[in-house]
Amino acid sequence: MTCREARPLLPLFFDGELEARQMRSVALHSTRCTACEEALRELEHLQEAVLSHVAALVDEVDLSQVWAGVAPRLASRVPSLAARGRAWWEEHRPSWSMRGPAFAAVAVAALLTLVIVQPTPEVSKPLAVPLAKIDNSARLDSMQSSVDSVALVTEAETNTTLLWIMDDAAGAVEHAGGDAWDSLE
Amino acid sequence: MHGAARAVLLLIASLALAPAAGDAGETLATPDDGVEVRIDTVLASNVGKAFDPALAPLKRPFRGLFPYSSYRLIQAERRVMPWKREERFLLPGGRYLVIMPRGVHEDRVSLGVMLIQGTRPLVNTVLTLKNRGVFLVGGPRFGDGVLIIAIGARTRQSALPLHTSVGAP
Repeated sequence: MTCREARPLLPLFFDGELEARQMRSVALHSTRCTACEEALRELEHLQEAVLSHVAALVDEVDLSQVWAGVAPRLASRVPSLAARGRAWWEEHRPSWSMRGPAFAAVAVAALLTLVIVQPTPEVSKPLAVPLAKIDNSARLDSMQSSVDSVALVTEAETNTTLLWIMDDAAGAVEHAGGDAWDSLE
Repeated sequence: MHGAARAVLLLIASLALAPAAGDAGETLATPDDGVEVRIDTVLASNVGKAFDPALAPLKRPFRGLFPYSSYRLIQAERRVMPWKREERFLLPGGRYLVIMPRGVHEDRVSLGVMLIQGTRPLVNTVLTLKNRGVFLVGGPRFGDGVLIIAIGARTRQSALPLHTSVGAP
């Protein structure tokens, strides 16, 4: 991707509105292009400025009297318990005719008969197949990283591989894994 | 992004990529019905002592890999993806993953994975993991702890659940 292609996409990229392929392309381009990286940084500054300005405006609004004005109106609109009960009954009143319960009773009796007549099933045997051993073995075929350092660690029992990102920009991450945590930097 | 940090574009080929060298020419199959990709995001911290029951299948690897006292599943997303097409998975804290399933070879699924934070790509990698297996990416800070992202994949023909996927198979 060239600068010319990337430039019009930067605001959309910043807002996370690009589709995945373009998102990836712009992200990769921005790591290599100082001008586009700078443009993205300006967008960040602009967003921060707008946010802080809006936050300051919101802080200035006096909302202390709002609830005092709303609460009395709400209280006057709360229906009585009896009215709420009637409303509930109207909403949930059964719509079936008297034949419904009779039909239900016959159905339940038939079901019970079936259950009683059924031969007793054998006690289920435990699963003969043991649970599969977890194997999360994986490998990295290629990797590029812009963080300060990364570590690759594998947990022996399940072969689970962990790619640990240690990024000073996001703050150092404390860990206590011993030598296995040594950076691959 | 810091210029210095950007300059440290690490190519880990000498270490992590060594095993892949022999497989560079392997032919990847792309079954018609795509691949199921699952992204589980866990918040690990030392605030409290709780292990989210939904993470039970990950308990063993977590215990072996991390020193944290609390693990909480904060996001889980599962998608059936077509091969060779990139899709975005949003993560907490303005981060997201761009995943592209590349193909399958000898019961191993190859995925292109890019982790982006804001406008900054943190890692861009191609990984091959066992079908129904899980790969972990951890370290990004979030709240009082760090995020651990479990990336799982299984081909659609596979009847078994992901080895350590959380929640419903």
